Amino acid sequence: MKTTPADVALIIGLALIIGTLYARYWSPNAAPPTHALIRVDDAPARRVPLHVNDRIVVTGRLGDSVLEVRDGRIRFASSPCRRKVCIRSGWMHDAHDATACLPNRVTLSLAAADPHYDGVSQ
Amino acid sequence: MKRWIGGALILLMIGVLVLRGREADDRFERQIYSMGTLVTLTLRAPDRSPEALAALVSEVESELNRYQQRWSVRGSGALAQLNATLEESTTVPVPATLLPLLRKAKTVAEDSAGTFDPGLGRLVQVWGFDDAEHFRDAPPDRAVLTVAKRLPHRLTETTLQDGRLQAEKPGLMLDFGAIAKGAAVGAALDVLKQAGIEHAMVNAGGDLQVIGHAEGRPWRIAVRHPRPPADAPRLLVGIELQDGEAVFTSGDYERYFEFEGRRYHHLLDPRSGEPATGAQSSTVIHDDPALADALATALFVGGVEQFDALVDQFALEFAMLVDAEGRVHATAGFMDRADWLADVEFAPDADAQ
Repeated sequence: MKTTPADVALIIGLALIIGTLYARYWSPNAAPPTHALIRVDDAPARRVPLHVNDRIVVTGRLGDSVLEVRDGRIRFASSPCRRKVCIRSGWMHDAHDATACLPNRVTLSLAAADPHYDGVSQ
Repeated sequence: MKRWIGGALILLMIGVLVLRGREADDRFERQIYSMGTLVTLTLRAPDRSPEALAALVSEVESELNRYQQRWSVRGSGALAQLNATLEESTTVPVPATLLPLLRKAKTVAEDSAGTFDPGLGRLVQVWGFDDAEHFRDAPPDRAVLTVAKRLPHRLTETTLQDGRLQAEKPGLMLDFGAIAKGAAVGAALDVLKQAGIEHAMVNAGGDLQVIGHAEGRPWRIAVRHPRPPADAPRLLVGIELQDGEAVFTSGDYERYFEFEGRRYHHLLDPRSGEPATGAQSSTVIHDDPALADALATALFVGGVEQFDALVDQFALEFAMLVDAEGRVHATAGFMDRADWLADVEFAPDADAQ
């Protein structure tokens, strides 16, 4: 059977659609986080976009924690806590990833507009 | 011409499916501080007003705070008072609010070959892992540690009868940190279920339980990679959860300090009084969140040597251990459900355990 322009168009179209479907529904990285939620103590969460590189200072119980946003990721850059566990958590770049500086009562979680996972067990 | 039309129709049908996207997100999400961590409540109840759901979240918060007060080693709660009595005495009446979980913890302790025991409260205190604000920089003085190890530190060496706990000698200090959070997560979900909520997730700092399902699909969770490669995703494996399932993970990356090149973490081995050395993380999926919590700790402490025995003892269908070398050991049930998100080295026969 001879391949016609219609067949070629159909194959290309199907390939594009399958690629879109994979990226949207099946790829583990399908839903990169769009923003971070920063919360200090019991105050309402502050929403920070991850597409804008920034340094954010939040004041907790012990003092100032500095959060750094770079290239869609976020991390604790400095914190007044003793053990610096929050800083050692490093960069976070997955939706629903979360870390906290509990001594300073600062928590950080990542959210996506369309998250692939509803939570992270850790 | 017919083939053009046929092709166009197929593309159109698939295009409609793609562009339709997922159903509208009807989630109500709130975060609260309790049990020493951040608790995220995700509710799906589109027929309730935001005000009604916020009131429900307040009820959950009150319940969690009651748990925190009750099970805190410090302060004036029921457990703190029980510990104060045990400091001077060998026999203590157990308040009714503590009895069910204490009984469950004792059973797990007795069946877990020494890998789980809430009796090590004093050792946790000596190691400084009981207070996130005052972590140590170095291991405790060996003499102090030796004295603490000589004091009673095993719930398995007590008798629980007629609502009274009897220790062999004074000085036992109970710490339910490895099981109470699980019970609290279950209690929080009970509040939601009693209010008629059918679809929800309670996530207490990464330890979670679900009821119902997410939008048109099961709840999906990922388990954190204990040693994620630099600049790679921090996720190890994805799992879809069924109604009522809880997922608890214990890892050496949460509360720890490093001294002279060695990591000292908060998961103490009750048999040695030292941080366990056989694993990087362990994960248990179970319908009982308190058991999932306790058994994740037991698997971590037991390491590779006791993984199979503990899985058999507690008839665990869904369990995983990342050993000290980073190799994954998992039950066949876990392997069947796992969607691996990172390069993983499996232990031999990982899917046959």
